[in-house]
Amino acid sequence: MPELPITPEPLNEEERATYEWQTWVPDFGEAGQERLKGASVLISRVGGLGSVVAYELAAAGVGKLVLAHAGDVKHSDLNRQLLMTHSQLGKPRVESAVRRLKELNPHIELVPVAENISAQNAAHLVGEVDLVVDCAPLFKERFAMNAEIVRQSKPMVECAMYDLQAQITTIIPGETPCLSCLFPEAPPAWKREFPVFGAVSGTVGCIAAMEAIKLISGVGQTLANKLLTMDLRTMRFQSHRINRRPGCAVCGE
Amino acid sequence: MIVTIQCFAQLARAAGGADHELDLVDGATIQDALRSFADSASEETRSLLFTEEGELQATILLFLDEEPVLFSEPAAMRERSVLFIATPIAGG
Repeated sequence: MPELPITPEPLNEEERATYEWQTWVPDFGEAGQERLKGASVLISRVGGLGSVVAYELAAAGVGKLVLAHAGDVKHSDLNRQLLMTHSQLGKPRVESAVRRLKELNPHIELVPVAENISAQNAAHLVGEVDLVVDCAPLFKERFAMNAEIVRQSKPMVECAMYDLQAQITTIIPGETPCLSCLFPEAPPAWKREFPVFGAVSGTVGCIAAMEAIKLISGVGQTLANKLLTMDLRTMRFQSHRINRRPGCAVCGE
Repeated sequence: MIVTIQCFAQLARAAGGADHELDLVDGATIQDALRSFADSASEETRSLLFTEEGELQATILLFLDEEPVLFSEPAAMRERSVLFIATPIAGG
């Protein structure tokens, strides 16, 4: 896995105390923490999945999080979108997300963007960060993000869920399949509304956050060239090898 | 020979569960297995797998015993093979 071009940021004494227990992780250490502090991550939607990604990355001390999500908090968000609260009903989702994340970690930079990812804003938003975690519920948004991370050659953690199942892979442009290699066209049957428990989206959200931490710090092995599927109904977890699609319209030669 | 079709996500819901055993003739390919499975499945299941023209949906991923396989290059199945069929999901 190539090292991401991140400039490590030195820690102060409070940060050393805050992150002490994770710096005990072998191969991570204070050097890994300094890389997290110097890193920036775009999270495309902070719903059931992205809320947990953002929460874990904020807790871990990633220096800058860009949070893209349109709309206001609704009752139907609250079973899973852990950054949304009853007190914020009717207010912008990104406002609620920032409020909760600041309670958790007031020392990181949070950039709220009250828009979903589109072909119009993807280039700018991807350009602001070192890597992306894709948690959007629509393939149109996912494809817009995928095209841009390939163009800018930045990694993206691609994760999704449905019912009690979830899947995740890590895309490294030029080395792994991109989203369009896996799904060359918009799936006709996918609908924006889907059955979901927060515990399922949270499970894959935690794994996605760990993938981002591994990409930033270099610790461990990522899901590059592997699709991890999990079925929480049967507790069957499977890792499938995946290949680039020859002639892919997005990442093909 | 007995093989297992494992359905994921929307397909599992449409098919009434994840795991489905099939009894196929020796030497059957993944194409045979998918056609056989679809023939005995619900209309919703068939439409998730195949287009109206009978082509496999372009967004279906197939893994035979956890290795990726292409429908256009049919691989032979063996006794107790597992064919995993993933339909695309984007739930966040």
